[in-house]
Amino acid sequence: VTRRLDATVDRGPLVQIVVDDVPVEAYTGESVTAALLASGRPARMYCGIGLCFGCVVTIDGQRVRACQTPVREGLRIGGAS
Amino acid sequence: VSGPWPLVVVGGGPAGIAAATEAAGAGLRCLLVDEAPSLGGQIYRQLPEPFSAKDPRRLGRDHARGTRLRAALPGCVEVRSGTSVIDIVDGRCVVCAAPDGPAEWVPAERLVIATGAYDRAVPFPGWTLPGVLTAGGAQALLKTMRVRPGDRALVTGTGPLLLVVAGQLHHAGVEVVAVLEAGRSAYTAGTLARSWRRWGLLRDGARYRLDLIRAGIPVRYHHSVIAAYGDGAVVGAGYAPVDPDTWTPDRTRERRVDVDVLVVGYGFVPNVELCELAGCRTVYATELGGWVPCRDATMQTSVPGVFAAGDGAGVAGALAAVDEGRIAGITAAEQAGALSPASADLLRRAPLRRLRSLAPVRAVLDEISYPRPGLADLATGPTAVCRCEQVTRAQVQAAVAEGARDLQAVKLLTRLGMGACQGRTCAPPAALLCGSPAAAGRINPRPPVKPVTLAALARTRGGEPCTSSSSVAE
Repeated sequence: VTRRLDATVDRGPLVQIVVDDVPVEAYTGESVTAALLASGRPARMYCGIGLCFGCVVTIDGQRVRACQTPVREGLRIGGAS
Repeated sequence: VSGPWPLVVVGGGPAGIAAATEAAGAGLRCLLVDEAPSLGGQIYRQLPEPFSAKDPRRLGRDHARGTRLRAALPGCVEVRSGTSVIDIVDGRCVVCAAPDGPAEWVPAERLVIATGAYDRAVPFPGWTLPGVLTAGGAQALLKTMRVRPGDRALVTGTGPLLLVVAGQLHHAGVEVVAVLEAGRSAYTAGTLARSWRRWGLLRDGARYRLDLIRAGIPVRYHHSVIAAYGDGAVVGAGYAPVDPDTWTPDRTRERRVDVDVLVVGYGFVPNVELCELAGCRTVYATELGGWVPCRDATMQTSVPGVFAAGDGAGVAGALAAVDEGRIAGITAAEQAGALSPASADLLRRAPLRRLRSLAPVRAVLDEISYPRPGLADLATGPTAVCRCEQVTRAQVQAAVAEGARDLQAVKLLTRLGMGACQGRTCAPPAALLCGSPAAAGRINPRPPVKPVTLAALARTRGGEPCTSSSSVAE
């Protein structure tokens, strides 16, 4: 969790999400992209503001922009679908 | 209250907030529609919902500016956050869509379009690898998500924002190996003399420039990245000197560095698609970032009652955006009869004066950073220019050789611009390949400009007020 900068903010609840069938801890409200990067995984993100669609991934069976999708408990990214 | 809104403002960044503040302050009933979960735009973006600042004073100057701007917004302004505008029908009716809700047609008597700008995409080999991100994307991660994109970064592009982002990465604990500026330094005696106390970004950049010197991070002028390397993620980047006038890279002098993050900031492109859908005439202005709506001194476009303000109408930064928004809001209130022409004139005076005082510094920065034709040569033949449809530079050039003179023709021949981003990303670099970006024209925006489910469209509410002469959404 060393990629999170915690000196200046208090985050919300720590929850579990599933990335390619592997459980990963993440914070409620942070973007899926931020959660992937913070866990040390490569994540495709170009514009970061929802315009380029370079970050589209499958979340709970739907193709959505990872940079615009907030983390919530139990969210499933990729994996068997 | 029923009937059309006297004013709908699209975009909740500095320009949109300022426009709504002035109009509502004059007594105008006002709706502010914004795509983000909370107001502020990209520059004054807020922390996500459950996050809280331990000490707001440590979040920096932009955070304080954003807080002040939001605090001035009157409570009577109806704010719809998390809501995309997917079309503007008949120049007046705003079609809104929020996730999980039906689309809604919102009739408006007047509009302020303040949709902001986004990073100019510059394709080069490897630019779509994970680990390559724009300067704006890096800032979104650092400022909002409070996450480092990686451990070792190369920063490349042009303009003082590069120094700001490099400084922010450094302070976040990322090892910044170098900053590559394609142009020259903005920090010459002449520029500083003209910009003193006048240009926030330049001043912030200067502060970070000192930090970079102290940290021993080199800034190389007239250099650019030419390739990102890696299989599945960036592990290295190649850079080379560029011609000072054309920015054409000299690939024979490539040097390589090991990095897992490559931040690319080649300036911003105004987001004009809603202006175009509203029927506003546009013109190509290199120094303003590309296609911009034609406006008079009161920020009114070629469509009476439709205003455009902020970076979405020509990239000039947040300080200018606030004053443009104020002028648009004041004039909208004047048109609605909420302000007399005399008091509107008086209110417009201060923001107009401030805009004039920003102009000389803007001119210097624009001259350093406007995109040069050699940027197109950062891509090689097999580089995808359109990442959505995987259309390569060689395919675009073949289309041009076959006779395609503009982006519409390139699109028909190659599918460039037909993916999910609707050409927002690929149109500027593809236009450079057509020769003159002005002659290359635009890829026509098509509603819905943001993805929306068929279920939301099928349940569209409030179509009647503007359906008479329109076939959209039938």
